[in-house]
Amino acid sequence: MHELSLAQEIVRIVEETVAAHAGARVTGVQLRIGALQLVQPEALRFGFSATTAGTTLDGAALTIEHVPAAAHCESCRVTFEVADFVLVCPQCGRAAGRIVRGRELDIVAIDIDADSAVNGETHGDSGLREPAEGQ
Amino acid sequence: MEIPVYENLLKANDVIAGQLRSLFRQHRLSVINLLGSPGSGKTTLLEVTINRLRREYRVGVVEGDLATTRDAQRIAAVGAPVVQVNTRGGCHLDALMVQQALPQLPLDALDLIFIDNVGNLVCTSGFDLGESAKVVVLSVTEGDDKPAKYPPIFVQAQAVVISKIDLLPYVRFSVAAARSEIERVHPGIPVFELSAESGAGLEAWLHWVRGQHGAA
Repeated sequence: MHELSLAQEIVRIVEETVAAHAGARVTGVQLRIGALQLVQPEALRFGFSATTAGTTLDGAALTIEHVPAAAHCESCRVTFEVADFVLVCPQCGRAAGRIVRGRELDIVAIDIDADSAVNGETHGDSGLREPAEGQ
Repeated sequence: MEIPVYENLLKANDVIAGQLRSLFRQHRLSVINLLGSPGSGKTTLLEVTINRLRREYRVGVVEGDLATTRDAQRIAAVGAPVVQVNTRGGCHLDALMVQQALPQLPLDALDLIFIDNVGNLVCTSGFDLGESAKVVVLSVTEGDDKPAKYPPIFVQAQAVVISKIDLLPYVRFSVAAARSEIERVHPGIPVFELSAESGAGLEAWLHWVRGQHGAA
């Protein structure tokens, strides 16, 4: 749901995070998304490409780790997988589950091109490039 | 090279929701976020609730709609301070919209605020507004299968109101079936069957609302 605004938020967080690694080229963003967040991966990828097109993030790939939903039944002390938000414990049959997994909506890591960071390559107008020795 | 990050994508909204929660606590306000499909009876329930509670609590309302001030006018007509938010296309209220609207309410002169959210059984569940509780209003004309078909909002809520029960003789809605579906996705959630029109079942709902204020 609202994949476009999520994509825009991803871009905002990524840009903020890599600002400290001046000139680094972002090659990917790793996400962890729980089933209960109702995110359509294709819509998110589409929103992300649309938002990053023509920017320094253009071409960066989204890696999405999907987390299935799970709930815990206190009486039976079992954790069970949840389908369609139904919290009925498979052991005792009572609707007593408490959600323990599946609400994640996180950026886990950002992949940057190690070469671009190490050599201090820059993109766009910002920053100066010092000539390498011997050139 | 990998830069580890741990950031929740809903953080922007949640940070503001946290600020709202502190603000509400500071002013000793209970805030109820009223959710439900368009036409489920949220605003009508609010009108009768305000009328019934006026001698006990000072109630304020944040109205959310895509367009018009019609609902704000209805609330003003029952004498409660109200501010209208028009999302102009947005399908839900978010914390920023509520934060921007609040200065127009006399927070020091209120005990209880209702947020009459945009009519929507899907998107409104995902946005924390700093409320004390979310209540879903489901009318008997919408079908008893909706809690199974639209579970997230029922999972997020702290109470469910089954509204328009005066129409039960005319619709194929089984209260027992609806209650069973609700229980499967949100075990133990209180469910109130009522009719704003006839007044049936209102007292149990009002009792719960009073309890919310006590818990603030």
